[in-house]
Amino acid sequence: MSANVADPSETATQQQRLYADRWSSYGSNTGILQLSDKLSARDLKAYDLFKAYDDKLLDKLTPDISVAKWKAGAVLFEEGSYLDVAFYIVEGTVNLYLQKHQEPASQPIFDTLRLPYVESGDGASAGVPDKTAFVAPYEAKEKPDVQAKPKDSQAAYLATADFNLLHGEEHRLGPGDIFGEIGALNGWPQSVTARTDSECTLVQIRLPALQQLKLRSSDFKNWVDAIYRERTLSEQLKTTPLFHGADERFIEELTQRVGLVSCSPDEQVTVEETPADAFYLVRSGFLRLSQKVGDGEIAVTYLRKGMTLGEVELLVDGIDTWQFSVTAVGFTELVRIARSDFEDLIGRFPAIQGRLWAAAVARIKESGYTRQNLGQPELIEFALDKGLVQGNSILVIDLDVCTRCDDCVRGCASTHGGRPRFVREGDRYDNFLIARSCYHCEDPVCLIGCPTGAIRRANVGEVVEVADDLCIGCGNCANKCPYDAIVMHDTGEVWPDTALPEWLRGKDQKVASKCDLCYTSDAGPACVNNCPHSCAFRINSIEEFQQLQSVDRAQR
Amino acid sequence: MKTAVQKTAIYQTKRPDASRWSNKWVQSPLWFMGFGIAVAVCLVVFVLNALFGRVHPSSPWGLGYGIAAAVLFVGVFFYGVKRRTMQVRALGRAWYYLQFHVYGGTLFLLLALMHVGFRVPHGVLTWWLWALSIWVVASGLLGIVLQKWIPTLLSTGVTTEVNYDRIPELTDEIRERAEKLVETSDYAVRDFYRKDVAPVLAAPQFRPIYYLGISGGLKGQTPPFRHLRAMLPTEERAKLNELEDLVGTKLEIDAHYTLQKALRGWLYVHVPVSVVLAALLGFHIFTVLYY
Amino acid sequence: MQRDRFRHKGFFSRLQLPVAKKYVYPSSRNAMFFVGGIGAVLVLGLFSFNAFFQHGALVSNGPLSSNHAAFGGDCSTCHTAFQNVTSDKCSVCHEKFGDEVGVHTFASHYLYRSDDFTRVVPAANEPACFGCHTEHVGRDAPITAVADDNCLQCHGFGSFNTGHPEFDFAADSLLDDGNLKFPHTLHVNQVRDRKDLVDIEQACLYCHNATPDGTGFQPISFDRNCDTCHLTTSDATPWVTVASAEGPGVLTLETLRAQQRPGSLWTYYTNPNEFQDRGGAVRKSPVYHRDPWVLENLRRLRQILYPSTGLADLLRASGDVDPRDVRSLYEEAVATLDTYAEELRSSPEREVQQELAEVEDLLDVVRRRLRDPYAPLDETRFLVSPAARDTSISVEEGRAFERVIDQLTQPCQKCHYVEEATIVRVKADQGNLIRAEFNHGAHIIQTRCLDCHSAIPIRQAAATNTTAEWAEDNAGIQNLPSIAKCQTCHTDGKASNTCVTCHLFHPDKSQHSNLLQYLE
Repeated sequence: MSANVADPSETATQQQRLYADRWSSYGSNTGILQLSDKLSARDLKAYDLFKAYDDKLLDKLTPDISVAKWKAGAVLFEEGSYLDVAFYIVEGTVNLYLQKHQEPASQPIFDTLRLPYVESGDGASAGVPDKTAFVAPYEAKEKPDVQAKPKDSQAAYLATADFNLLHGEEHRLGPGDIFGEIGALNGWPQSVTARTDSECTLVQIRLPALQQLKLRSSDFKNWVDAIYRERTLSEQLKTTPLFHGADERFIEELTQRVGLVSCSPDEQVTVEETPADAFYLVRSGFLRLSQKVGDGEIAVTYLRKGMTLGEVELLVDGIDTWQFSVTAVGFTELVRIARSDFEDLIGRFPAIQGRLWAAAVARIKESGYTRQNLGQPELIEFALDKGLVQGNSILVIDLDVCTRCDDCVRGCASTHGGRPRFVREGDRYDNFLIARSCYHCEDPVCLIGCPTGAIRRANVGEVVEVADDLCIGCGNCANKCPYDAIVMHDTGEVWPDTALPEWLRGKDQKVASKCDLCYTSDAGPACVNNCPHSCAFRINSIEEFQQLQSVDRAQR
Repeated sequence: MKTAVQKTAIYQTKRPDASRWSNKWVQSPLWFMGFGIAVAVCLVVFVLNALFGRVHPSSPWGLGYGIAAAVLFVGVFFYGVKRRTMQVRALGRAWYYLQFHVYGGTLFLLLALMHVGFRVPHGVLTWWLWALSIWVVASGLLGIVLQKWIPTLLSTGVTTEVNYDRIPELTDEIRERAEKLVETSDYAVRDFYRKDVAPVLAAPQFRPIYYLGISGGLKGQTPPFRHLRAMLPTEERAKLNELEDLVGTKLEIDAHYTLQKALRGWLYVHVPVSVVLAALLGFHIFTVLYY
Repeated sequence: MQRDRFRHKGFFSRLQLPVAKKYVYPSSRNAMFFVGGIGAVLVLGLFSFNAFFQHGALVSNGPLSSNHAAFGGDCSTCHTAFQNVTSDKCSVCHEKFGDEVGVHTFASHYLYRSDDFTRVVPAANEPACFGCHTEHVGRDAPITAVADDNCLQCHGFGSFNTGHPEFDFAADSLLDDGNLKFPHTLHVNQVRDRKDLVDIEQACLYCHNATPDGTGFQPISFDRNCDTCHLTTSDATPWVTVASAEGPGVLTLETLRAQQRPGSLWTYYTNPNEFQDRGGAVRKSPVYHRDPWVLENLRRLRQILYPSTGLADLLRASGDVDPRDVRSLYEEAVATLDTYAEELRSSPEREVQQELAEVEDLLDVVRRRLRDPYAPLDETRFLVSPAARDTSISVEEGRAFERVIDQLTQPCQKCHYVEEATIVRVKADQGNLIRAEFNHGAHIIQTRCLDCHSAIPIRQAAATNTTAEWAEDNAGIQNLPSIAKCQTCHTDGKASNTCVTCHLFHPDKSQHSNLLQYLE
């Protein structure tokens, strides 16, 4: 084996390359002039950011932290991309600006009217009395049509809005600033493009490290939260259609008063029939809304990021208690507006009520619909259980049509070097098979704990991919994935003597394998492309699943 | 920089041209209409031909039908190429290939029959071409029927979904589990298992009864758990229930095995013959040019 | 493959991905293509072997017709690699030996290959034999039964019943023979009365004698058909002026005998008692058909009137010849010239020998043209040219000549016309369908003559029994029907109506059409 006799300098080069690769997941690595080798805890302590943490923790985090020197004028990331990295500026300045004139129509991040089961478009916007009455500052920024929901099922990017910029405007960040963390922590796409102004030294922290840092130090949490409040929240609240028409200064005051709530999985947020004391905005994660029916509970609906909770209870006279029991599904971040603040808001700006009423009516309609259609709670439970709500691209196979020819799997295999990335097995709902193929989750837990950063957002939509040359086959992601969508493959080879880290050498080489949506190909996913009977679908959301169901019923 | 791919290109939620006229048999009314028009045009041309001339393979008309049929045949064959290689991905979805395969193939037979003027050819080679064309298209149509009928049977009749290739493996696993379950049970259960259950779990079984109806087939094979259950203590009953579940799954797997076998098996009467037909067609074209 | 692949929490606890190449390209599919491939190779081998090393019966599109069955063992008899069957291959048998062995020949195709008036296709574009004669369609398939659409590709009409052009004679109202004064009705009634016939058709057949094979009728000849009644011993010429210094006239037998001109041998065999001489006028009784004295005198008169006619005076025909008659005319010319040349040979005089050389030269030309199907029949040296009348003869003298001619030919003029000192030629044959065959024998047992030949009301005249009337009906001496008549029976679902029903290209020897007679 030639790899066995490689000279040490080559090994070093290889190591350098792998490490550099890992840190360039958000873009090309051409901008990095110099990348630190693996840092020790002491190295990290050199930066203010890490002073508060103990060495043990930092040692654990260090694979996910690097220090890079970027050349001037390098693009760090573009708006609309998903990053799992936050940047801390040590030296130099970074310029933020809007690059694209008209991205796929952005949506405000919080929207009262974003409900999962209301037919998109008409039903929701019907509740808005007069669109032009609420000219948001957001709309003024050459981003027309923000209120119009995108037609069909085409998902729109949610704007993180962590920097409030007009087109052509620039924002400069200097040493001691952190950026990109909001997108990374919340799974939101970046709202701006970042370019180094001068030669920069940046500490780059990947999501797993970032989460740990936030968890272990309240100082850090407060700092990040404060940044969030300052940079993002007020802007997010302002752009939220709900608050259109409210005084900007009032919203800025409100921003300081709202609570930022983090929920752990299955944590109860509200209990049905207890007094409703707050209005919630969902920052990330999912909430299950259920109601008592007889002895049991049925899931009425769920909330995903950007949706709101509490308009019925706070608005409708005579309803002062929670109508739903709300539990967090997985880690969930909420923005809490206390009842008093909310009432204050309504009192001062009665125009807000129009939109709230529309949302309340929609929510009530929805619970009514759910009670009438017994399949609905079942589907919601199923979707929450099996993580369909997480999914950005779920492979669904219509078993009524499928001839079990396995061409989807074969197509996948032939596209990926003979190794299929899913198997035609999985949960069945109605006559649909939810194949065990990556959902490309909103909140990909598989990303957490990858020691090399091989698994990452591919910077194309929500696609999560595994970089084969970085994967060391540890299996962490496969174990983390709640939906069995990642599988470890034996490559049939043994790690060569030049492999890094050293403990791998001589062991069986395994590699994590998961769907990458064939994002490099224009032909789309091979599974769908190769299905001769057109029974394999990639769906974006539960709504599309329901559409598929109704089309299928009609055609049966 | 990786180029951003439009989301719409990645996500595919609808059948390429599903409409409210689509149904299980006619997935795409557009293709169906195209096919209908093509058939009508062919028949009109043929009638005109018969009115104003003689229908003969070597007449200009007849030659035209023959060439059209041969071109269609080549086009139709691309479906096989696509499925076998999976490599022509950029050239469109397999679904389009299949639609063309089905409609084009049927049209091929029509044109081939028009080529010989709906008569039985005289020569040995030509007779075989004629016979194999009919065979291949007929078996293809049979395949369509199977492919429409069996999936529905499976999706409505059984609750499990099984990969055909994994069936032996799964059967083994069920048997191992069942044996482990029974090991610790009392004599009555072990005896029942040995006599009534073991033969059922032994191996994947092909039972044509499933073609007639799945639920009936399942019922007929289920060992008499009910009688035994009444005699057992509660603890053993739980085990028996578990065993019953395993047997139920195994029988459903059998149903899959039986029915999916037909889904795969019909290809054996279709594909090899079509390869021979392709060879003969090539030879026929050669002889026509040669002689 | 190792079984201990990643343990998972899926269905039956083990999620295994099929990573084998065998899975992506499954052996079942390979097997199907393999089996198919083997079958294909076997079948191809069998057929190829049969085609190239054996008799090729498997590859053949069908059995050869029984005529060609003997060649079934060797494809190369007819086929050349990557070419159509060339007509040369057919000609090996059909042209070279066809005439000798009596099989169908190419001769009948010359019609379509020559510069004939029917020519449509230039010789270079002439279709190959196989274009019309389809082989390999079964042992009993008649390969001469050429399908209509072969013809109709060029002849742009639907079929015999839709769009077939009218027969030429009917379309152009062409007179079959206007050169004979002949009333059908009179003859039919007279024949019926005299022979006491019950049936009109018997009267027809009294004159129209069938050919031995029954497909048609022999040409009407004076000796056979008219002689019984016409030119009996009582017939005589009127008194004809004898030539003298005063004016034109005929020469008496004695004078002719004394002159001893070539071709006057008949004078020695002619009975002088048939002539009555009253000085200055002579009269002959009886007069025969083609009476040599009458004809010789007529010829001499013509030579005076038309001095530049050359050899034309040998022929009893005018210059105005129907194109369809040209061939017969040629043949007559040959016969006449032959007789004439024979007589000339006995005279050693220089002028006579010069004339003989001229005649023999003409004979040569005419004979060659008759033989060569490609040569046009346009020689006119032996024909009368009306423009050539001697201008030195005054109008007065001309009238005297014509008076003499009129007197001389008076017995002839009962049936014939005389123009330009020539008895107008009567068409000897009756063929009017020149491009098609008509078999009378096949029709006469199904229908009556007068059902089709209904242009002249013979039946009606017979019914009224008007015997005396001179009903001039030479406008259609054959009384031919139009195509509509044929189409009443020959139509889809009734009698056959294909092209080759009538247009025979390979008739057998005994059945040659008139057209084909031109060629033999």
